[in-house]
Amino acid sequence: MKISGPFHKPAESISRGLVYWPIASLAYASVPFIFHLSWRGSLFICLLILWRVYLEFRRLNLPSSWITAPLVIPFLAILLAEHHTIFGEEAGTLFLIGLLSIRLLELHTVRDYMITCITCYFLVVVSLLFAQGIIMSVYLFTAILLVTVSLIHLHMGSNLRASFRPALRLGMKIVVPALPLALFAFVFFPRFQGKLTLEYHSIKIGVQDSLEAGNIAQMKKDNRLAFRVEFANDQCPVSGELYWRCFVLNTTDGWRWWNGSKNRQMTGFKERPGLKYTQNITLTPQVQRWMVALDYPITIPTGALMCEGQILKNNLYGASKRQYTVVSQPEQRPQDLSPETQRRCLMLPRTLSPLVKRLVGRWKTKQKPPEALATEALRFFRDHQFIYTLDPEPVEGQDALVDFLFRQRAGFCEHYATAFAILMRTAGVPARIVTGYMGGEYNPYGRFYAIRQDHAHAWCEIWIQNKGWVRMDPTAVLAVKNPTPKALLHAAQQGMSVEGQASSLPSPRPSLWRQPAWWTKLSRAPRLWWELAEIQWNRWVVGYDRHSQEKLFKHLGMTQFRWLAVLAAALGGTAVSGALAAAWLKRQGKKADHLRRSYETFCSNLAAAGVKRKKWEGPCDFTRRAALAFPLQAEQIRRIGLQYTRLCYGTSPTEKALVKELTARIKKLGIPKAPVN
Amino acid sequence: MPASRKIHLRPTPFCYVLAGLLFAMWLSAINWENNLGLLVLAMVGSVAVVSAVHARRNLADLEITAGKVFPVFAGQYASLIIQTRNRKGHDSYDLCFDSPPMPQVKIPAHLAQLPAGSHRSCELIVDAHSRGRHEVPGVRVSTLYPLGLFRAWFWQPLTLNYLVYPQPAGSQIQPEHFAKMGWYSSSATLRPGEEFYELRPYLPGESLHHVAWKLVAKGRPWLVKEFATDGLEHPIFDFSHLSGEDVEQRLSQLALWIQESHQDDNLYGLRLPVIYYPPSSGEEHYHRCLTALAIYETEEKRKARKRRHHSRSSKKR
Repeated sequence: MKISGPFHKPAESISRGLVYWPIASLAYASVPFIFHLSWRGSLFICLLILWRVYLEFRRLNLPSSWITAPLVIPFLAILLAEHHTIFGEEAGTLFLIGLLSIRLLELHTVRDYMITCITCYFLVVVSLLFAQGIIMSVYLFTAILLVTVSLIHLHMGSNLRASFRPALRLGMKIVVPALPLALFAFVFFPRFQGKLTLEYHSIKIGVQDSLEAGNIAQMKKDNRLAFRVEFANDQCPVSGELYWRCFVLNTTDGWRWWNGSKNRQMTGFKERPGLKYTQNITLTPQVQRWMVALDYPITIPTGALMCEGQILKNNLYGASKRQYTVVSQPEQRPQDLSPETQRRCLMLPRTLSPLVKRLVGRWKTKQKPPEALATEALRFFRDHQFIYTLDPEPVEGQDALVDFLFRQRAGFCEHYATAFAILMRTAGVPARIVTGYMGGEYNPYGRFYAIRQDHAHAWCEIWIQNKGWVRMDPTAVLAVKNPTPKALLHAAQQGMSVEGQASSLPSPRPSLWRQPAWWTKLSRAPRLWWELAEIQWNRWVVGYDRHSQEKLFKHLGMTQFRWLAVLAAALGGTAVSGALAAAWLKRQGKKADHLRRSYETFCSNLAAAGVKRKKWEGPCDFTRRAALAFPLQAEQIRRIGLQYTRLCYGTSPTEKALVKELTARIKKLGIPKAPVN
Repeated sequence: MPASRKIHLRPTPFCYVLAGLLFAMWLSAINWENNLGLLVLAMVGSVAVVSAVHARRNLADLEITAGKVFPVFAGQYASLIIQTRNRKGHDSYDLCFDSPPMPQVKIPAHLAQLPAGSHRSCELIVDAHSRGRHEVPGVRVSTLYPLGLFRAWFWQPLTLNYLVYPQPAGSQIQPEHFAKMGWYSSSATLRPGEEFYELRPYLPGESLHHVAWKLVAKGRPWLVKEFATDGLEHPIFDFSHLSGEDVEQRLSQLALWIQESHQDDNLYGLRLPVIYYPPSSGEEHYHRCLTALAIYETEEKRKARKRRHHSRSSKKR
């Protein structure tokens, strides 16, 4: 007999009032994207949602496709005006949200409802491409709960008010057990090598080979991973010394900085006694063609070149190298100063303000050595209330430097680096700018440093006779003055000097409204805790990647046949948990089984004695009849009947003890073989 | 009810849609090495998996029994009552009952909610298109609860029988009118109020009053003329007296007469080649007669008989 066949489709239209749930889900899941959309687009979507709510509220007819379909055009226009495309992760997602909102107007079938909710799940996952903080994650968790509750509502019945509580309870019952399962999958599900040739031009990672105002500020707002580094033998410098050099820029027009000299190739250096760090560097698939190394690389990885300024460049065209090992020695400063380089490193912008010259002239009066001049410059920054901020007022044009030095006195690393370099050049000291990254987040599972885009940094090097190019980081002196809690935490956790991390941290922007002292005091402790939580989150959750997983597996002894082992473990785990669940369900069934079997024994005992249960007879009727037939055991029989009825048909779930008691009672019941008449 | 029955689980199309979207997201999360994305991805996947467990639990410990079924006329809808008792400690939702071996199930039964410990009944609407005794071998109980991503179902064997009477139809006039119009009164001996009914063989010892002497004179055997007198003046609907070849049409005609007579509260009898119900009235008689019509030589039986007959005749040849 064929007992499987097509299932009946559920009623096509959803009941009234139910539509608020997918609307709410969509609105809730779209909130993280609102920040990526202009006010016009947001307003458009809000209006669509309000329109649909209004239609439902006033019980009006839904518009036909002839009205809703053309609504795509204005939304598309808004999107194209801002993003110039509808592909790519950002524009594509926004387009999807727009389509869903338009589709809401016609939403009235079960299918639309389901598709909307499922797409909301999708949106929840997509929003993680844009932000990965703790608040965001908690928000997304609640979004998953809301979408789940919406789906439950669809299948729970139409009585809206009555079913809200059970739906919410059930939603929790689904989402909360899903959490450990998800964590298990997160930790143990095999990760694969990245880079699937999905690439959008807007998503390139890395520093650029020229410096312009705003370059780095933009990178600071991006927390994507740029590269990660493992140190051989766990020998790594303190975090304050983690300067990753990428490019050396020696030429300027006063505004832009770039490398003007021809790439002169260098050979490697001999290892000298002293500190030595061997780094194993893995670049994220999305980085452009550059290579990074800790100050100062002495070996040249295969497939790479070393260029002037002791920087590494990718030699391979096409297939760029992503994983390499390089040895660095902090004492091996670049020693090269060709006449051409010297000329370039002393070049000043054509329109240098006399104010700057006068300032430097004041320092130079005593014909100080370059170190002393640099100290003077750093002191100037420190003593004149210079502030670190990622959103300075834009300074442009000829007077940018003067404006920065004498008026605004707020900026971030690239402002300080450029200003410092020009001050040094004015003083006659060859100076250049180095761009790259500074610091890094230590990942305790993988024992590696993760360097993100927001670690991007720019600093200076000045030429000192007999010493070579000496690193000078003017940004670092600022932080000493007003360290932020996050910097302190970083410092405490990574055992580093406070100066080190400061550069990647914006201090609050100076504003007219100052926070009252009591508020600062009161909010300090929670803020510290919050920042600690954020750091831990980044370390333990966001930072748990393929490398961490491999390390963890290695740690667990899963080195050989790793994939097989993991797969086997996953399958085995699933099988075991499935078997446990099945056993549990079976036991539940058995409990009911016990009860039934006892009752059957009881019936067959009575049948043997001559009172046979008729097929249609329920326990009440049967025991009443049996009690009449056996007056001596009447009380017992009646009690058995009552107890069985209660256990079998009562609302309370069957309890083991009670079932046992009944079984015992049935056993004890002695009935003669022939009925007593 | 078997102690443990197999609850099947099957993903719905929506589940495949979700799986496709999640797969796309998985690729992109790997591409951008977005670890948190993978976590949330796993979260959504786990929600789907946990929902499958809930779908199974929703169907656990349901006791399903067949309720009473009332017979209907062909062309109507029969409603099969199914009683469901929830024997677990939590409510069940969205229970759908159908029976795929029965293509004539028109509207599957649906229970939106079944609170813990309670019982409800629902109706399976069946298209009763042909007369006879029909059997539903069981019902399939399925649910989309809780998320609609998985459908859990199990097969519950049940003995659900329902009877379909022939469709009341036809244009012939009831036999009681025959007599009044005198169609049968070729014999002048018929007194008013008497209806000539039929000829039957003479039994020794009977009164000679009703012997058909004319026929005897022609050399036929002794036959007795039967009249519907006083107690017998109610119509007997006779299958063999109806004109027309088609059995179904004749049964429909009989059903119509029975229905009309029942509505008018008249007495009536029924004679089929296999059975005879003397004139009577009342619900029981009504249903007894219609049941006889319903189960009278169904199509299959007739075909089987014809086949037998055919094979026998071919053997003879």
